[in-house]
Amino acid sequence: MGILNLAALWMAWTIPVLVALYLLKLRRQDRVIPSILLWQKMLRDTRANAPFQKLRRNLLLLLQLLVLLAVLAALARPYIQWRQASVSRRIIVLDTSASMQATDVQPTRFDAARARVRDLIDAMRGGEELMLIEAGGRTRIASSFTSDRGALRAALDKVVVEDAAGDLAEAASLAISVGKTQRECEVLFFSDGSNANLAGLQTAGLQAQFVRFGESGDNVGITAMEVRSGRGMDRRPQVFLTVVNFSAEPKVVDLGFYLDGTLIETRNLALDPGMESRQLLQRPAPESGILEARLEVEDALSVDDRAWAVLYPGRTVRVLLASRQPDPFLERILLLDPRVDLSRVEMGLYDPAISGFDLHVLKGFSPPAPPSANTLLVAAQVVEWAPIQEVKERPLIVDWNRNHPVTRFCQFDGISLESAVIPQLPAWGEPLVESQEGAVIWAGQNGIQRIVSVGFDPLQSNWPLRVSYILFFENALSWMDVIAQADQIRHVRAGQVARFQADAGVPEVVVSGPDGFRRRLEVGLDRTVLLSDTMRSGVYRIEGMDEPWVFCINTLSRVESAILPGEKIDFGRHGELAAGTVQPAMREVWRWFILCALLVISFEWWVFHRRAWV
Amino acid sequence: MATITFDTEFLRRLEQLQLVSRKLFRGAGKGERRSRRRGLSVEFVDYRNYVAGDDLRYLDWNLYGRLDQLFLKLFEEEEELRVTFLLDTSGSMDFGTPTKLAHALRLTAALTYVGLSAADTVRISSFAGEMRDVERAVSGRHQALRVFRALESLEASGPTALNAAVRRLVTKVRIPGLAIVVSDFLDEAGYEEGLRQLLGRGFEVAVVHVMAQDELDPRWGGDFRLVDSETGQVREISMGQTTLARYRAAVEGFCGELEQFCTSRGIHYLRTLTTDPVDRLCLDSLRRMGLMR
Repeated sequence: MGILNLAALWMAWTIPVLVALYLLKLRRQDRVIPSILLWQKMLRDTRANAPFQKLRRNLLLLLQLLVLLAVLAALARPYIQWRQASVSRRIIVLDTSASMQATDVQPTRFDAARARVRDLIDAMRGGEELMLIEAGGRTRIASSFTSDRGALRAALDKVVVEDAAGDLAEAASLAISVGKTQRECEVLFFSDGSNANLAGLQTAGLQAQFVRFGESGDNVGITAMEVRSGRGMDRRPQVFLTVVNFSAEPKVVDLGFYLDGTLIETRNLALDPGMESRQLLQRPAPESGILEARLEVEDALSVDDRAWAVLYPGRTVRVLLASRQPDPFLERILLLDPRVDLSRVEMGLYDPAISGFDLHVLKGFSPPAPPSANTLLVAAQVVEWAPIQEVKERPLIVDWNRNHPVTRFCQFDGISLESAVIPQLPAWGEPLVESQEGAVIWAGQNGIQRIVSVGFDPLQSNWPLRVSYILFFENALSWMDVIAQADQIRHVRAGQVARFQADAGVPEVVVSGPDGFRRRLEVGLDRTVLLSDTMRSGVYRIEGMDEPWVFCINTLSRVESAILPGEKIDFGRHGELAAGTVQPAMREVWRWFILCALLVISFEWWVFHRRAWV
Repeated sequence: MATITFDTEFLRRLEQLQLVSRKLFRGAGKGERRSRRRGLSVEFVDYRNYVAGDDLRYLDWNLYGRLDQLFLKLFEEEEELRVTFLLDTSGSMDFGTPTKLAHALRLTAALTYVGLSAADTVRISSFAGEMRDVERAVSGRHQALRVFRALESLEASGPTALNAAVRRLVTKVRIPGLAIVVSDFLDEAGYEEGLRQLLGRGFEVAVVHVMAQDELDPRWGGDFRLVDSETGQVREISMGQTTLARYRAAVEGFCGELEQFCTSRGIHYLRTLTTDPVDRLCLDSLRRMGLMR
């Protein structure tokens, strides 16, 4: 038993006030009677029969004091540690996604949820075990099943809310799969339920509860930001931005753009409920620096009110073309992009390890070793380093990926091929255009290297006569554009792994970020640096290389910005879990005190009207 | 001041009644009641030896002829009955509808009329703070109207002091008779001593306990400051069902104690409410309890 609101006990001054008021007694009506002899006799009898007559004389006062004490006790919010469920094991899935930073529940949804989990830990009984799963950008088991409250509290203290979009489904899948292996196990979801579509997960035979945190959906946020630095002839940076009003009321917000902390432009946006505003910022001249977009708005979630981008001047894309025979079509297409600085080399002189080129375009042959840069293979041949391949005659194109950046807007129907190399794709490869026998065009990213392979010679098909031929190569060049890649590398979404390429000979780098973030990272064999701890948005710097590398981590999640708490967790055809309240570990019992006060006050009313005392 | 009037029919019926005493009392004068004295009536009672100086007219000569001894025949003496009314005129009697005093006066007047009609001597004393003689030994029906007027002049005031009144009465009365105490007996000093003194002095005592309906069963509720009409004492009380029940129990207990006290000592006891008709009391209740016939 404990008290949550100790300050309420200050109200105890009302007790002497009540006594004082009672001492002022009610005004009685005078009534002359023949003699008080009989009344005295009655009083004598009453006193003789009841030893607590003095107490009874003040019964009303006592009852009123009892009511007052009950009300004071209720105001003090007493609680008992008590729980109804009788499960021996509990799995707590604690949502740490960005939306849990919303302040519609004080101090935040996450803090409220964590406090509730702490209550649950405090109320654990002997033999009861608890497992804690963190459902943020990545699912993490904060604590496996244990009955050690200290360890659980320590694990809980280490759980922090992230700026990343959460994946409740993954955490729920883990919790449910673990829960089903246990007897008498219950899964508790502590979440705002704003992204609680867990269709496909089966909770049958498992106790589960959804404890919802959150009250409103009042939020305006930046849900998308894309930067194109140094593109085009004039190399002017372009910033695309999307601002969405998720609240139910119209909002007027100021969108400010800051370059290296200096305000360069402000826009006033009037947003109706649910309205999406797309903004384009074009700078007049090539420039570099950290661009910050900042929304000046009072809403429940602040993490999506800021987004950062790295601007830097662009440069020429150096392309090395090596072909078995000259291909004027291909050369013309490559030269369509004014940034391209095309170099040609004969097939026999081609060295896969040659440096200084951003893109290798190989036509009609495959080198004995994989190239060191991004590579576009056209009419690729069977090689040892490439996946197992076989040549198919007259393959018939049956389907293509319409969503991949390389094949977007391209139509491949009606294209006749003479022959094509059909590979067995590596794990990182993705088929783009498929025939009955397999992929005739595929793409993939191996580490930081991107490869697009066209398994047939376009000149041996009717493809060059189609518009899709030009579109395909334009898309492929854009996708493999190192500058565009750099844009992507410099802009990471919170929760995603940031991948960089260190300078040659650098054994380790130091990454520093907001809130004193600092990590020392080893450089991999392929000069790759991986940073997985990307849960906090902001501007990060990598030191230890020839030139400091700056990148930004942004939340940019429409799902997280839509903070309206969900009413349920939807398990699709397996049902749904309505939001409820887990039987609080610290069960507040003020209602019982109020009930007692009502009962006593009713009794007092009855006594008053019965006047069963003198 | 209440006017005491009775209709002719009632008076005529009262005239046919007489107060009854179980004891035989000596009277101060001739009357129509048997006396402990041997007298000159026609009712033979006993013999006794002749003593010189006895009236020779009462010698039983037949007995003398048979036994050769002189015996004197004794006859009953018929004397008056002395009826003393002790009427409570304390402040507590001024309650009820009609008031307890008015009821007591009418009842006393009716009984007085019965006594006067039967040639009894009636004495009426009122008591409140002190005893006061309303009428000193009147007899004869012609005195009735005067007695009535005297009764009408009585007013209720002052504290009840039954014991003191009885003490004074027994010192003043030479010949005891029938004492009828009409009171509400709401006396803080109690009634026991007074009634015992009356018995000890040789009175045959009858108690008429007058109560008001409102006193027996109050119909008022709420928070009150009760003020004693006689002493001015105050008690605060909240009247509710439970309190009423306890009060009724206390009243019943009080009345029961008084009745028990009376019946255990051969005292006639009659409890009457102010709403009881006097004619019914006289013609029915008092006759049944043996105080009249």
